[in-house]
Amino acid sequence: MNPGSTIVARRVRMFALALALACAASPIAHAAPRPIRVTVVDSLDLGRVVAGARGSSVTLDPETQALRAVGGSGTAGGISRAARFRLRGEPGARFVVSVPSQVRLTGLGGSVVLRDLQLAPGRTGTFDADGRADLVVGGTLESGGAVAGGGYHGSIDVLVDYAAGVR
Amino acid sequence: MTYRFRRRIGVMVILAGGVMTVATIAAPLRWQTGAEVRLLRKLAIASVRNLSFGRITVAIGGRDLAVTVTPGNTVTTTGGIAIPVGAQRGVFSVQGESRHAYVVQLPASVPLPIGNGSVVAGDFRVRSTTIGTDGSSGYVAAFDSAGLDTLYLGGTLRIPAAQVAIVVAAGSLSIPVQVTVHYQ
Repeated sequence: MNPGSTIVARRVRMFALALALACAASPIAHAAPRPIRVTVVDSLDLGRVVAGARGSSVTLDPETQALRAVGGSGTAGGISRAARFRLRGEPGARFVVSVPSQVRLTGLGGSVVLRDLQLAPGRTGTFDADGRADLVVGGTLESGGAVAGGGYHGSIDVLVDYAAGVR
Repeated sequence: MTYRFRRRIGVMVILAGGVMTVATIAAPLRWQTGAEVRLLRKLAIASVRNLSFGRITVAIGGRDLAVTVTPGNTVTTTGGIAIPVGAQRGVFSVQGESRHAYVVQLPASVPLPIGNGSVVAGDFRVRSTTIGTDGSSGYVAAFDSAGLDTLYLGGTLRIPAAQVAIVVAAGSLSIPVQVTVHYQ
Protein backbone atom coordinates (compact mmCIF):
# COMPACT_ATOMS: atom_id res chain seq x y z
CA MET A 1 0.00 0.00 0.00
CA ASN A 2 1.51 3.35 -0.99
CA PRO A 3 1.68 6.24 1.48
CA GLY A 4 -0.95 8.26 -0.50
CA SER A 5 -3.65 5.64 -0.19
CA THR A 6 -2.91 5.26 3.49
CA ILE A 7 -3.53 8.96 3.99
CA VAL A 8 -6.78 8.78 2.05
CA ALA A 9 -7.94 5.76 4.01
CA ARG A 10 -7.15 7.55 7.26
CA ARG A 11 -9.06 10.64 6.20
CA VAL A 12 -12.06 8.53 5.21
CA ARG A 13 -12.04 6.92 8.61
CA MET A 14 -11.76 10.32 10.25
CA PHE A 15 -14.71 11.66 8.27
CA ALA A 16 -16.79 8.62 9.15
CA LEU A 17 -15.96 9.20 12.79
CA ALA A 18 -16.83 12.88 12.47
CA LEU A 19 -20.12 12.03 10.75
CA ALA A 20 -21.03 9.65 13.54
CA LEU A 21 -20.23 12.34 16.11
CA ALA A 22 -22.29 14.88 14.17
CA CYS A 23 -25.29 12.57 14.00
CA ALA A 24 -25.08 11.93 17.71
CA ALA A 25 -24.47 15.54 18.61
CA SER A 26 -26.77 17.37 16.22
CA PRO A 27 -30.37 17.58 17.48
CA ILE A 28 -31.24 19.71 14.42
CA ALA A 29 -30.88 16.73 12.16
CA HIS A 30 -33.49 14.78 14.10
CA ALA A 31 -35.90 17.73 14.69
CA ALA A 32 -36.15 18.91 11.09
CA PRO A 33 -39.76 18.60 9.82
CA ARG A 34 -40.60 16.30 6.99
CA PRO A 35 -40.87 17.98 3.57
CA ILE A 36 -44.29 19.33 2.71
CA ARG A 37 -46.08 17.51 -0.08
CA VAL A 38 -49.24 18.41 -1.94
CA THR A 39 -51.93 16.60 -3.85
CA VAL A 40 -54.09 18.76 -6.11
CA VAL A 41 -57.67 17.59 -5.62
CA ASP A 42 -59.42 20.24 -7.76
CA SER A 43 -58.43 23.24 -9.81
CA LEU A 44 -60.52 26.41 -9.53
CA ASP A 45 -63.50 26.59 -11.86
CA LEU A 46 -66.10 29.35 -11.66
CA GLY A 47 -68.38 27.58 -14.11
CA ARG A 48 -70.54 29.71 -16.39
CA VAL A 49 -70.82 33.35 -15.43
CA VAL A 50 -73.02 35.92 -17.14
CA ALA A 51 -71.15 39.16 -17.67
CA GLY A 52 -72.65 42.21 -16.02
CA ALA A 53 -72.26 45.96 -16.04
CA ARG A 54 -68.89 47.59 -15.36
CA GLY A 55 -67.84 46.92 -11.78
CA SER A 56 -69.81 43.75 -11.41
CA SER A 57 -68.18 40.64 -10.00
CA VAL A 58 -68.70 37.08 -8.93
CA THR A 59 -67.13 35.72 -5.74
CA LEU A 60 -66.50 32.06 -5.01
CA ASP A 61 -66.35 31.47 -1.26
CA PRO A 62 -63.71 28.82 -0.46
CA GLU A 63 -65.47 27.73 2.73
CA THR A 64 -69.02 27.32 1.45
CA GLN A 65 -68.27 26.96 -2.28
CA ALA A 66 -71.13 29.44 -2.76
CA LEU A 67 -71.09 31.91 -5.64
CA ARG A 68 -72.17 35.46 -4.93
CA ALA A 69 -72.81 37.91 -7.75
CA VAL A 70 -72.67 41.69 -7.44
CA GLY A 71 -73.58 44.38 -9.94
CA GLY A 72 -75.65 42.53 -12.48
CA SER A 73 -73.49 39.51 -13.09
CA GLY A 74 -75.01 36.14 -12.56
CA THR A 75 -74.30 32.50 -12.83
CA ALA A 76 -75.64 30.39 -15.63
CA GLY A 77 -75.37 26.89 -14.34
CA GLY A 78 -72.48 24.58 -14.91
CA ILE A 79 -70.19 23.32 -12.19
CA SER A 80 -68.28 25.78 -10.06
CA ARG A 81 -65.69 24.73 -7.51
CA ALA A 82 -62.87 26.21 -5.51
CA ALA A 83 -59.31 24.93 -5.87
CA ARG A 84 -58.70 22.19 -3.31
CA PHE A 85 -55.42 20.72 -2.10
CA ARG A 86 -54.42 18.01 0.35
CA LEU A 87 -51.17 18.84 2.15
CA ARG A 88 -48.89 16.43 4.01
CA GLY A 89 -46.26 17.57 6.46
CA GLU A 90 -44.99 17.34 10.00
CA PRO A 91 -47.78 16.40 12.44
CA GLY A 92 -48.71 19.34 14.60
CA ALA A 93 -46.53 21.79 12.73
CA ARG A 94 -47.85 25.16 11.64
CA PHE A 95 -47.55 26.33 8.05
CA VAL A 96 -48.08 29.54 6.12
CA VAL A 97 -49.61 29.86 2.66
CA SER A 98 -48.93 32.52 0.06
CA VAL A 99 -50.94 33.22 -3.06
CA PRO A 100 -50.76 36.22 -5.40
CA SER A 101 -53.10 39.13 -4.79
CA GLN A 102 -54.60 38.58 -8.21
CA VAL A 103 -54.15 36.51 -11.35
CA ARG A 104 -55.19 37.18 -14.91
CA LEU A 105 -57.25 34.69 -16.87
CA THR A 106 -56.88 34.96 -20.61
CA GLY A 107 -59.04 33.90 -23.51
CA LEU A 108 -59.77 34.74 -27.10
CA GLY A 109 -61.76 37.76 -25.95
CA GLY A 110 -58.88 39.26 -23.93
CA SER A 111 -58.45 38.80 -20.22
CA VAL A 112 -60.28 39.04 -16.93
CA VAL A 113 -58.95 39.46 -13.41
CA LEU A 114 -59.40 37.03 -10.56
CA ARG A 115 -58.62 39.06 -7.44
CA ASP A 116 -58.82 38.88 -3.66
CA LEU A 117 -57.86 35.22 -3.58
CA GLN A 118 -59.22 33.74 -0.39
CA LEU A 119 -57.86 30.78 1.53
CA ALA A 120 -59.66 28.35 3.78
CA PRO A 121 -58.92 27.74 6.56
CA GLY A 122 -56.68 30.80 6.20
CA ARG A 123 -53.18 32.00 5.44
CA THR A 124 -51.86 29.83 8.26
CA GLY A 125 -52.76 26.32 9.23
CA THR A 126 -51.64 23.36 11.28
CA PHE A 127 -51.03 19.81 10.18
CA ASP A 128 -53.16 17.38 12.13
CA ALA A 129 -51.86 14.43 14.13
CA ASP A 130 -51.51 12.43 10.92
CA GLY A 131 -49.64 15.25 9.20
CA ARG A 132 -52.55 16.20 6.97
CA ALA A 133 -54.17 19.52 6.16
CA ASP A 134 -56.67 20.66 3.54
CA LEU A 135 -56.37 23.95 1.74
CA VAL A 136 -59.08 25.58 -0.39
CA VAL A 137 -58.71 28.65 -2.61
CA GLY A 138 -61.49 30.89 -3.91
CA GLY A 139 -61.61 34.42 -5.23
CA THR A 140 -63.48 37.22 -6.91
CA LEU A 141 -63.81 37.49 -10.67
CA GLU A 142 -64.27 40.90 -12.24
CA SER A 143 -66.98 40.01 -14.70
CA GLY A 144 -68.24 43.38 -15.81
CA GLY A 145 -67.53 45.90 -18.51
CA ALA A 146 -66.65 45.18 -22.09
CA VAL A 147 -65.76 41.55 -21.54
CA ALA A 148 -66.25 39.25 -24.48
CA GLY A 149 -67.90 35.90 -23.96
CA GLY A 150 -65.86 32.72 -24.10
CA GLY A 151 -63.49 30.61 -22.05
CA TYR A 152 -60.79 32.21 -19.88
CA HIS A 153 -57.92 30.30 -18.32
CA GLY A 154 -54.99 31.03 -16.02
CA SER A 155 -52.97 29.61 -13.18
CA ILE A 156 -52.47 30.39 -9.51
CA ASP A 157 -49.06 30.11 -7.84
CA VAL A 158 -49.31 28.65 -4.37
CA LEU A 159 -46.43 28.62 -1.87
CA VAL A 160 -46.56 26.71 1.40
CA ASP A 161 -43.82 26.76 4.03
CA TYR A 162 -43.49 25.89 7.65
CA ALA A 163 -44.16 28.79 9.97
CA ALA A 164 -41.18 30.47 11.59
CA GLY A 165 -39.82 28.38 14.46
CA VAL A 166 -40.93 25.06 13.04
CA ARG A 167 -37.72 24.58 11.15
CA MET B 1 -3.76 12.52 19.83
CA THR B 2 -1.81 15.43 18.39
CA TYR B 3 -3.18 19.00 18.27
CA ARG B 4 -3.26 18.85 14.48
CA PHE B 5 -5.24 15.61 14.54
CA ARG B 6 -7.78 17.00 17.06
CA ARG B 7 -8.22 20.17 15.00
CA ARG B 8 -8.85 18.12 11.86
CA ILE B 9 -11.46 16.04 13.69
CA GLY B 10 -13.16 19.23 14.91
CA VAL B 11 -13.30 20.75 11.46
CA MET B 12 -14.77 17.58 10.04
CA VAL B 13 -17.40 17.39 12.79
CA ILE B 14 -18.49 20.92 11.92
CA LEU B 15 -18.55 20.08 8.22
CA ALA B 16 -20.46 16.85 8.76
CA GLY B 17 -22.92 18.53 11.08
CA GLY B 18 -23.50 21.19 8.44
CA VAL B 19 -24.08 18.57 5.81
CA MET B 20 -26.62 16.79 8.01
CA THR B 21 -28.47 19.99 8.82
CA VAL B 22 -28.70 21.14 5.21
CA ALA B 23 -29.86 17.76 4.06
CA THR B 24 -32.80 17.63 6.46
CA ILE B 25 -34.24 21.18 6.22
CA ALA B 26 -37.65 21.04 4.52
CA ALA B 27 -37.81 23.50 1.64
CA PRO B 28 -40.94 25.59 0.92
CA LEU B 29 -43.26 23.93 -1.52
CA ARG B 30 -44.40 25.84 -4.58
CA TRP B 31 -46.89 24.68 -7.19
CA GLN B 32 -49.42 25.96 -9.69
CA THR B 33 -53.05 25.17 -10.13
CA GLY B 34 -55.43 26.05 -12.91
CA ALA B 35 -58.23 28.63 -12.79
CA GLU B 36 -60.95 28.99 -15.38
CA VAL B 37 -64.32 30.51 -16.12
CA ARG B 38 -66.76 30.52 -19.00
CA LEU B 39 -68.10 34.04 -19.50
CA LEU B 40 -71.42 34.50 -21.23
CA ARG B 41 -72.77 37.67 -22.78
CA LYS B 42 -75.51 39.25 -20.78
CA LEU B 43 -78.97 38.33 -22.05
CA ALA B 44 -81.10 41.05 -23.56
CA ILE B 45 -84.67 40.84 -24.80
CA ALA B 46 -86.67 43.56 -26.49
CA SER B 47 -90.22 43.62 -27.70
CA VAL B 48 -90.40 44.39 -31.41
CA ARG B 49 -94.15 44.07 -31.72
CA ASN B 50 -96.91 43.20 -29.25
CA LEU B 51 -99.12 40.20 -29.71
CA SER B 52 -102.33 41.49 -31.30
CA PHE B 53 -105.72 39.81 -31.56
CA GLY B 54 -106.91 42.40 -34.06
CA ARG B 55 -110.22 44.12 -34.29
CA ILE B 56 -113.31 41.98 -33.83
CA THR B 57 -115.95 43.57 -36.00
CA VAL B 58 -118.86 41.11 -35.96
CA ALA B 59 -120.54 40.36 -32.68
CA ILE B 60 -122.68 37.29 -32.25
CA GLY B 61 -124.67 37.50 -29.06
CA GLY B 62 -124.87 34.69 -26.56
CA ARG B 63 -121.66 32.89 -27.43
CA ASP B 64 -118.22 32.74 -25.88
CA LEU B 65 -115.60 33.69 -28.41
CA ALA B 66 -111.92 32.91 -28.76
CA VAL B 67 -109.22 34.17 -31.05
CA THR B 68 -105.99 32.24 -31.37
CA VAL B 69 -102.82 33.54 -32.98
CA THR B 70 -100.05 30.96 -33.40
CA PRO B 71 -96.29 31.69 -33.36
CA GLY B 72 -96.42 30.83 -37.04
CA ASN B 73 -98.88 33.74 -37.46
CA THR B 74 -101.92 31.64 -38.24
CA VAL B 75 -105.15 33.10 -36.85
CA THR B 76 -108.17 30.99 -35.95
CA THR B 77 -111.43 31.77 -34.18
CA THR B 78 -114.18 29.93 -32.38
CA GLY B 79 -117.72 31.16 -31.79
CA GLY B 80 -118.54 31.84 -35.39
CA ILE B 81 -116.78 35.16 -35.85
CA ALA B 82 -114.68 36.26 -38.78
CA ILE B 83 -110.91 36.49 -38.56
CA PRO B 84 -110.17 39.77 -36.76
CA VAL B 85 -108.44 42.38 -38.86
CA GLY B 86 -104.89 43.08 -37.79
CA ALA B 87 -104.40 39.97 -35.67
CA GLN B 88 -100.72 39.00 -35.65
CA ARG B 89 -98.09 37.30 -33.55
CA GLY B 90 -95.81 39.14 -31.17
CA VAL B 91 -92.12 39.47 -31.97
CA PHE B 92 -89.15 39.70 -29.61
CA SER B 93 -85.47 40.20 -30.34
CA VAL B 94 -83.07 38.31 -28.04
CA GLN B 95 -79.30 38.66 -27.70
CA GLY B 96 -76.84 36.49 -25.78
CA GLU B 97 -73.87 34.18 -26.07
CA SER B 98 -73.44 32.64 -29.49
CA ARG B 99 -74.58 29.04 -29.84
CA HIS B 100 -75.78 28.87 -26.25
CA ALA B 101 -79.15 27.56 -25.18
CA TYR B 102 -81.57 29.63 -23.15
CA VAL B 103 -84.96 29.11 -21.58
CA VAL B 104 -88.07 31.17 -22.34
CA GLN B 105 -90.58 31.78 -19.56
CA LEU B 106 -94.11 32.84 -20.43
CA PRO B 107 -96.91 33.94 -18.10
CA ALA B 108 -99.86 31.61 -17.63
CA SER B 109 -102.29 34.38 -18.49
CA VAL B 110 -102.50 38.12 -18.91
CA PRO B 111 -105.68 40.10 -18.15
CA LEU B 112 -106.62 42.79 -20.61
CA PRO B 113 -108.80 45.50 -19.05
CA ILE B 114 -111.60 46.65 -21.34
CA GLY B 115 -114.16 49.17 -20.20
CA ASN B 116 -115.39 48.15 -16.77
CA GLY B 117 -114.41 44.52 -17.24
CA SER B 118 -111.58 42.50 -18.65
CA VAL B 119 -110.79 39.60 -20.89
CA VAL B 120 -107.93 37.16 -20.47
CA ALA B 121 -105.25 36.09 -22.90
CA GLY B 122 -103.43 32.83 -22.23
CA ASP B 123 -102.20 29.57 -23.68
CA PHE B 124 -99.13 31.40 -24.87
CA ARG B 125 -96.82 29.63 -27.28
CA VAL B 126 -93.45 30.66 -28.59
CA ARG B 127 -91.20 29.81 -31.52
CA SER B 128 -87.47 30.49 -31.85
CA THR B 129 -86.05 31.26 -35.28
CA THR B 130 -83.02 29.17 -34.44
CA ILE B 131 -84.97 26.15 -33.18
CA GLY B 132 -87.97 26.40 -35.49
CA THR B 133 -90.55 24.56 -33.41
CA ASP B 134 -93.30 25.83 -31.11
CA GLY B 135 -93.38 25.39 -27.36
CA SER B 136 -94.89 26.66 -24.15
CA SER B 137 -93.29 28.19 -21.05
CA GLY B 138 -89.96 26.53 -20.33
CA TYR B 139 -89.20 26.34 -24.03
CA VAL B 140 -85.49 25.92 -24.75
CA ALA B 141 -84.19 28.13 -27.53
CA ALA B 142 -80.67 28.88 -28.75
CA PHE B 143 -78.62 31.72 -30.14
CA ASP B 144 -77.11 31.63 -33.58
CA SER B 145 -73.41 32.15 -34.27
CA ALA B 146 -73.85 35.91 -33.88
CA GLY B 147 -75.59 35.54 -30.53
CA LEU B 148 -79.00 36.52 -31.92
CA ASP B 149 -82.43 34.97 -31.96
CA THR B 150 -85.98 36.06 -32.69
CA LEU B 151 -88.94 34.81 -30.70
CA TYR B 152 -92.46 34.74 -32.12
CA LEU B 153 -95.27 34.75 -29.59
CA GLY B 154 -98.78 33.43 -30.00
CA GLY B 155 -101.71 32.99 -27.65
CA THR B 156 -105.46 32.78 -27.25
CA LEU B 157 -107.85 35.53 -26.25
CA ARG B 158 -111.03 34.24 -24.59
CA ILE B 159 -114.04 36.50 -24.61
CA PRO B 160 -117.03 35.54 -22.47
CA ALA B 161 -120.39 36.16 -24.14
CA ALA B 162 -121.16 38.93 -21.70
CA GLN B 163 -118.03 40.82 -22.78
CA VAL B 164 -118.41 40.55 -26.53
CA ALA B 165 -120.12 43.87 -27.06
CA ILE B 166 -117.47 45.66 -25.01
CA VAL B 167 -114.68 43.98 -26.95
CA VAL B 168 -116.20 44.99 -30.27
CA ALA B 169 -116.45 48.55 -29.09
CA ALA B 170 -112.84 48.55 -27.84
CA GLY B 171 -111.32 48.15 -31.29
CA SER B 172 -107.97 46.51 -31.86
CA LEU B 173 -106.69 44.36 -29.00
CA SER B 174 -102.95 44.46 -28.61
CA ILE B 175 -101.46 42.98 -25.47
CA PRO B 176 -98.01 43.40 -23.89
CA VAL B 177 -96.79 40.03 -22.62
CA GLN B 178 -93.87 39.81 -20.20
CA VAL B 179 -91.46 37.29 -21.71
CA THR B 180 -88.34 36.46 -19.69
CA VAL B 181 -85.26 34.50 -20.68
CA HIS B 182 -82.36 32.92 -18.84
CA TYR B 183 -79.49 30.66 -19.78
CA GLN B 184 -80.17 27.00 -19.57
